[in-house]
Amino acid sequence: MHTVLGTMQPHRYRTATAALLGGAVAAAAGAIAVAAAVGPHGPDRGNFGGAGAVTLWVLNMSVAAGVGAVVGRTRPDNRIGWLLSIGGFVGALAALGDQWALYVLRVRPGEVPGATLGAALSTAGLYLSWGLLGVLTIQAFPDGRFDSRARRRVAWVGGVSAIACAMSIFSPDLLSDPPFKAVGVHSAIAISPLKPVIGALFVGIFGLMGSLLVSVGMLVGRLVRARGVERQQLRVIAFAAAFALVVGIVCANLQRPLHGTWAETPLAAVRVAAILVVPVALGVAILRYRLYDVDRVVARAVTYGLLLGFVTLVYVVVVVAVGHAIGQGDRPNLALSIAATAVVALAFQPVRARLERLANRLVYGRRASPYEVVAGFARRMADALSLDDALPRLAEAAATGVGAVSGRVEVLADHGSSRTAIWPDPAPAATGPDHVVPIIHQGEEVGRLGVTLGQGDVLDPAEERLLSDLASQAGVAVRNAQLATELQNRLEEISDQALELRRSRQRIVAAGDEERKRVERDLHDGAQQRLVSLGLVLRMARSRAPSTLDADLHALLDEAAGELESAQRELRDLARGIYPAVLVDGGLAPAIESLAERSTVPLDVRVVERRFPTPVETTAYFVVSEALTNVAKHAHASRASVLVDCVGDTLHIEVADDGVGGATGLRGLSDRVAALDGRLHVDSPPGGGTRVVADVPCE
Amino acid sequence: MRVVLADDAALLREGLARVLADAGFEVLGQAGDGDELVRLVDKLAADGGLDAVITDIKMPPSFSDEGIAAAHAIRAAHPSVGVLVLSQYGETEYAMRLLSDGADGLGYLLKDRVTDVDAFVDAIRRVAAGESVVDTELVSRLVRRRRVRNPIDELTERERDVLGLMAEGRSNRAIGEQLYLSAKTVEAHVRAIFTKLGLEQAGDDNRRVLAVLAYLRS
Repeated sequence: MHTVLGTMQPHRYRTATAALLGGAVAAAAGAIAVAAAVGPHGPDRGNFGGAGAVTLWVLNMSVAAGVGAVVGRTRPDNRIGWLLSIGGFVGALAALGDQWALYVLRVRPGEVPGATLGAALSTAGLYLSWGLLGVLTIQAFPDGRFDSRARRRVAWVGGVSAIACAMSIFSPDLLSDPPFKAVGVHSAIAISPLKPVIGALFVGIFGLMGSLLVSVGMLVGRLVRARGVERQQLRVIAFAAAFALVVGIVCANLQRPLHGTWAETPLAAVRVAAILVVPVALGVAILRYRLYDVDRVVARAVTYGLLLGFVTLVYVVVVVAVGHAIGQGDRPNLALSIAATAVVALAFQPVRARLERLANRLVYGRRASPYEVVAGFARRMADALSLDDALPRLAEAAATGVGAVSGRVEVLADHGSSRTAIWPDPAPAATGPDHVVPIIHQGEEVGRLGVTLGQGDVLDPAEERLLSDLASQAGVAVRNAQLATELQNRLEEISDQALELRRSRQRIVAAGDEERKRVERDLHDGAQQRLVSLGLVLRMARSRAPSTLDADLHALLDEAAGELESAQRELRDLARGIYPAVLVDGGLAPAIESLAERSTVPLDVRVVERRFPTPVETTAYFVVSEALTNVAKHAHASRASVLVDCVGDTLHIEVADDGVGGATGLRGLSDRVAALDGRLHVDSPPGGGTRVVADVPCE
Repeated sequence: MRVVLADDAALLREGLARVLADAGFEVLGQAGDGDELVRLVDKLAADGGLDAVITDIKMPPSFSDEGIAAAHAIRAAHPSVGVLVLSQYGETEYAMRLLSDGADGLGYLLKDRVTDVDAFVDAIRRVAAGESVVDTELVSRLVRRRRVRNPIDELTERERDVLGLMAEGRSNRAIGEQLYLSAKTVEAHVRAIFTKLGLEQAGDDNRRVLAVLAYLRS
């Protein structure tokens, strides 16, 4: 990297810049004093204008030299201090020379020497200080190095042009040409034969102007492209320059209307202060002094400036315009003033809030101020309807807060898995560095907050702080997200278990029914068949024992036949009780009809004639069967009814009687019905009959 | 009388064959399942060589209602052959299914009934003659059934007896023999029954069975 003026020991650097500052201040004081002396003697202006303008100029030069001294003191590696100090000194000296020349030429012509020296200092100093401060300083900003070939070239052009222009001090017309316009006075350093050359060299003025403009343009370009610290530095300068420009224009326009009024002096003071903001901003930028708070200061300034404008506007409108309209003229009207005050008081807060947001947008661009980001985040979290909502909002807050391309929030769930919310969704391809911050809640890491920056972007300390602050705020929310996810997982587990339990229940019931069917079939094919065979054998035995021969034997055989018949009947009833074959072959209607035929209580039966899945039919049948058994055994009823109907996708079963009520012991039924996700309800008030109602889903 | 037996339980088939032989029947063949039975009957009944079939309801392959299906098939193909279906269940449902398309020459008997040889033989002869038979136990259960509103209570006891015998598929003459009544008296009772129960007079005895059974079942 090319340094501006070789290397020098820090100690010498410090001393030299301090000395230059002293010199500048002294020259400035001198210039003001001489300008005061020159002042009353006509409106003539030197290279630096009248007393006011001169004061402005030397103040600027002093501050510039001051900044140079500070740089020399605190940043020995930054050679821009030289440029500022020398430039400031030269500028102040030029003003002094300028005023002295005027003093000699206008106030005391011929009495006091030094007109030529003064004029020479003035002219040369003017161009050199412009070159130094205008071009070289800009190009060397902010680190005191010309970091690109373009910058070096422009600096050279500017420097050389300034020197070429400065050569005009050797012109014979130094004192006779404007701005000094002294007639009959000759320059002591005139070199006449060089006049044409000097004239030609004055082309350098274009070079100087051009390089100045180009420098400013390049600075703007750098501002647009810059990132990180350099961006902040350039922004400070840009805001300061814009501020100075705006204030300068406003004051210039107000100068004439307010001329001669009490406001003239404060106006001038404001103008001076505004201009001085620029070199101060330069110092702030170079030294990186509270660089990141500058944005906040600027935003505030813009807010209150606009607010001031608003208040003024209201007053002007209400007092002056309305006053004029209602014929009050220029006289102040108490009522209108109060009215104006009232309007301002009412509108102040909302207008202030709006202006503040506007100012923040102007200053921070897409990035809200850090406080805004955190407050906004808190607001978003409060608004978020669900955690699915909240996490992307957090990612959005983080990304927009630091000006990143995309943001993401990872929630760590148990078993090492994680959920990620991204903003924007889908996120653009990552071009720049990634920055991740852990989200801690009660000492445990519950997630991670990450942002992906654009190419070449970096996070400055304030943005890093913002990220950490957001992360710490988000701890509770992310923990909630974690818990919600875990809860979801648990619920799914439980739901699966419940489903498995239900299936298992159904399997058990079905297995029981299969067993019953098997027993019934075994009875049918086994014992019952045997009894029939036995009966046949018995019959044949009887036929071989005629009654006439052995009455006792015949009687015994008859008795045996009778017993056999009873046994067969009992076995038939038993088998039907275990599992009725007609339920399998014919369904609910014939099976319940069969129950009705055997009922000892008059029965009113209404059963839908439709087949249903076997578990449903079995359950419905046994509900009716057991209910009817209860009716027969305990109810002492005079009549009963059975209703089986299909309503939508539910099978509705109702068995009612007008007996004594108090039915218990139907527990087995409710378990069987529940296994099918059905409901059983027994309504049996003592003395009030019994009603058994079951509803079973059937597709 | 020439008959054919069908039952999947071989032991029982043998027993039945012996009983029938004792009673003077000629057992021309035995079958173990519905398809076999139909084939056998088709072969034997070709030239009027078969009078009746006695078959179980539940047989291979599905053990549901093979007997009923075979009965219908045999009746359709050989109207002169009667079919008596034996069942251990005695459920009205099966009887209705058997007789649903016409009761001629079809009978439903409880399997236990075979030990009462007289009743068994009588049933076989009746289906061979083209009459209908419904087991007594089944009918009496139906007649005795408790109802909330029971028009059957309006019948006299005699009329109830007549009703039961009608449901069993008996002819008026048979009813008269059983109850020691004259044919005319039986006819009068029958008319009264039908009026009191609000039934239409069915044409012949067999259709009458179905009508009465259907009524008793409702």
